[in-house]
Order: sequence, then structure tokens, then C-alpha cells
Amino acid sequence: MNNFIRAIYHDLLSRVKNLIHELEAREIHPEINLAFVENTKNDLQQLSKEVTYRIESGDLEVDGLRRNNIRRYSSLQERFQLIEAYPYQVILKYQDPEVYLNKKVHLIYEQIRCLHEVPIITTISNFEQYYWAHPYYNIIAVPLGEEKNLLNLPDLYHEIAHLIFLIYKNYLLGDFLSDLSTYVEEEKRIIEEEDLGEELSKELDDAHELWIEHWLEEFVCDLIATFLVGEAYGWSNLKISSIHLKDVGIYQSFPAHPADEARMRVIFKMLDKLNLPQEDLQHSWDSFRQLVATPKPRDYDILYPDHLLEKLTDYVFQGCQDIDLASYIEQVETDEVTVAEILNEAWVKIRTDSNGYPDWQINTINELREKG
Amino acid sequence: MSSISFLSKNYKHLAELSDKLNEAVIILKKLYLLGMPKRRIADFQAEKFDLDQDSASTYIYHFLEEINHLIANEDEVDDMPQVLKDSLQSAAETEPFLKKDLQSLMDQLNRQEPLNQTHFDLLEKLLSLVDIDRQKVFRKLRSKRA
Repeated sequence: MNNFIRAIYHDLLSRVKNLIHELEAREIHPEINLAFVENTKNDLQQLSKEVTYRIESGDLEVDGLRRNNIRRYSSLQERFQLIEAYPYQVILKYQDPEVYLNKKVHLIYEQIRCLHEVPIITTISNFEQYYWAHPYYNIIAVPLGEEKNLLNLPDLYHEIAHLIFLIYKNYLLGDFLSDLSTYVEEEKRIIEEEDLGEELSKELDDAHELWIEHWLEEFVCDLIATFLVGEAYGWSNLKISSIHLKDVGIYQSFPAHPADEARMRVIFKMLDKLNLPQEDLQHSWDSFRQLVATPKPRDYDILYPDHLLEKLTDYVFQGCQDIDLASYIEQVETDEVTVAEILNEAWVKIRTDSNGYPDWQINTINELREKG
Repeated sequence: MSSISFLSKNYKHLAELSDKLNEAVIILKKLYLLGMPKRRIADFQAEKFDLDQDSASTYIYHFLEEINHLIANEDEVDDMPQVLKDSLQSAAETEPFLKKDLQSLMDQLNRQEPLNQTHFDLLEKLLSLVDIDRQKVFRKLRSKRA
């Protein structure tokens, strides 16, 4: 058995070395961020060092440690597979769309005054996975072909917000976690006093966990995105709600996401804070809600109370100012035409001149290409 | 936004927890089961987590204490992913002796007395629970890029 365990460690070491060799031998796109490539090589070198250390430590010969040695192997193997599946793929598939999108994200980081390391943008996603961020590799992925479109780009600000959240969580949340716990305790007390049933109390406990683990971050990222890109984020969110509609309603919560209706509510709250016009968006959203007429679940208002969403908006608004992000209003006030302004213009254009939009979009993207 | 951001955070949390727990168990196994001298253990110990015998015991004790709180619903257990909390609570329900065994192991660690095979069997069982959750999250994270 020890021979076999030693063999799989050696096999892993050989695979890691092969991948390092591949990266060194491969012709890499000249415009890729070299620090990202170096970080990936370093991660692989570190992994190679660690596997070698395990092989040479003598632990693999100790019968009493077999299970633990297999656990170590499994952990090292997973690290290898994740590097291969994420950063390595980003490097491998870096092409002209990436050049354009990475220039844009650098421009956006300047315009929103975010001083942190700019993520690398890749088109390794698809329409099912849509936009996603991998915070530990500092990757944001968008669907293939996204470089030819503008209307989904407000969602890029949401993904950037996930990276901001990782660094500034405490600034952005204020006392919200404590407010949330107080609210849940108070509601549970009422449920008990009014004998509304243990089931409701349990639902509230489950929702509390989901708020902390997932929903809170999603709401915060919606709020930051709205702070940064204004009404355009609301329009792209309405578009996503329309896509979700065929499977679920606007009041449906998911473990990883709060309900679309509640997300839209926080977007409006942030637009209010910024004193940004929202009549058209509000009108379309109200019509959409009536059109879909999804029944609201019994416990819905308890899960997403308006006063709690209001408090969260206040905290995030303050947090964004404290960390000195440039709001959409500030971006509009600068001399330059920012990406956020172009995205808002795109949403106006598609609604007012749908036929003229395709040509306008092509021209605008061409202008943006020259800008970066 | 997809669940990749959440999965990657969850995976990192579970992986760090299971790696560190495994390293801590290895250190104590070497000391109590394999009778290796302390100096040799120090040569072997995981440089990544900078664990020595005392910090390995403390780490395990803290982990067991968290599980105890979790089972008893006594306290907030913040430093544990939800998926693991659910698995541990479910294990406690199906194995009513778990709480007693945990306490016995914690007492032993607290008294700084040698651990025996029974104690290590319990630690291995807990490690397996963490690993199952970790692998579930890993597979989801990996399959997103399949």
C-alpha cells in the first residue's frame, strides 16, 4: 500500500512539472497581464515544492499515517486541478476579446477610483454560468462573445463588487449583522407569543443562515453596482429577472441568491440615495410585476423586510463613500465620458431606438476599443 | 453572478480546515501512537501551518469545542461553513454517543494526557466528515469548469 501511495504522489509531481513546462514553453499572448502568469507559475512551483517535501519527508513510509497521507494527496491533487481549471485556462484562452475587455476593466477601475489589483477578465464562461468572479485567483469571467455587447456589462460592476466586498466587508456592512440578529430574535419572539407555529420559526432560522452565508453579499454587490453604474444596473437586473421568469418567479429565493423582487428593491433604494432618476425603470418593473403576477409566498415579507433592506442600503452607501469609491454621479461630473455613462446611454438607446441600436452599439464599442 | 464566487470561498474555508486538522492529527499520532521523539516530529511537521505539538492539541481542542457548541445549540459557531455544521449536527443525531466521546477526548487533551487508538478513531471519523463536504464542494467547483 505504501508503494501505491508513493506512486500517486510521484504521478502528481510529474503532472505539476509538466504543466509548469507547458506554461514556460507556450507562446503567451503578448498583452496578457504578466503578473497573472507569474502568479500561476508560482502557485504551481509552490505545489511542486510541497509534493516533493511530502515525498522526501519519510511520512509516506509510515503505516500508521496511510489515511492521512491519502488525505494530503487528495488535497494537493485538488489544488492542482483547480489551477488547471481556472488560471491555466485563462492564460491558454487569452485572445483579442480579452485584450479589449481587460483594457475596459482597467479603465473602469480608474473611473470608480478602486485602487486594488485589477482582476483579469476572461471569456471562458458561457450563458448558463453567465458572469462570475473567482476571488482567490482574481478572475472575472464573462460569456464568450460578450465583448460584442454592452447591455450586460453593468453586471461586470457586480462582479467587481464581489472582489471589493472581500476586502472591505466590515466597512460595507456597518452594524448590519447585529441588526439582522436582533430582527430575527424579535420576529421569533412574536411567532412564539402569537403561536404562529414552529415551522415559521424554523424557516426564519434557515433564512437567517442564508442571509449571512449568501444573500447579504449578493445584496451588497447589487448595492455597490448600483452606486457605481446607476440605473443601467437596474435595467440589466430586470433583464435577468425576465430570463429567470421561465423557471421561477420573482419571489423565489435560492440558497445562493435572494429573490429577484428583493434585489430590485435594494437597487431602487440605492438609486434613491443617489437621487438618480428611476421613473422609467420603476414603471417597467411595476408593469413586469403585474404581468408575471407570481404569488408571494406566505413568509416572504418576513424574510425580506423593507426596513432591513433600507438599513443595509444606508450602511453600504456610507461604506462606499468611506472607501472612496466614485459614485455614478461623481463619474458623470468628470470631463471624461465614463464606461458607466456609456452603459446607461446604451440602455436608453435600446429602449428608444431599438432598430438603430445594433449600429450604435458597434460604433460605440469601436470607440471604446480606441479609448483604452 | 454564478455560484463560483461562493463555492470558491466555501471550498477555501473547508480545505484550510481539513488540511490543518489533518496536519494536527498527524503530529499527535506521531507523538502518541508511533512514539516518535519530539525532535523528529518537528522535522516532519507541516511548515505550511507552523504547527507544533501544543498548537496541534489546541487546534483540535478548539475544533471539538466548536462541535460541542454546535450540537448543544449553546453558542454561535461562526468559524465553520454551513455545510459542515449541517453534517456534524446530522452525525450527532444519528450517533448519540458522539457528544460523550467528544467530551472524553477534550478532557484528555485538556489534561495533556496521551491519546489512544479510540481517540484517534474519533478524530478520523470527524476528518472524514469534513473531507466528504470538502470533496462535494470541490466537485461542484470543478464541474463548473468542465
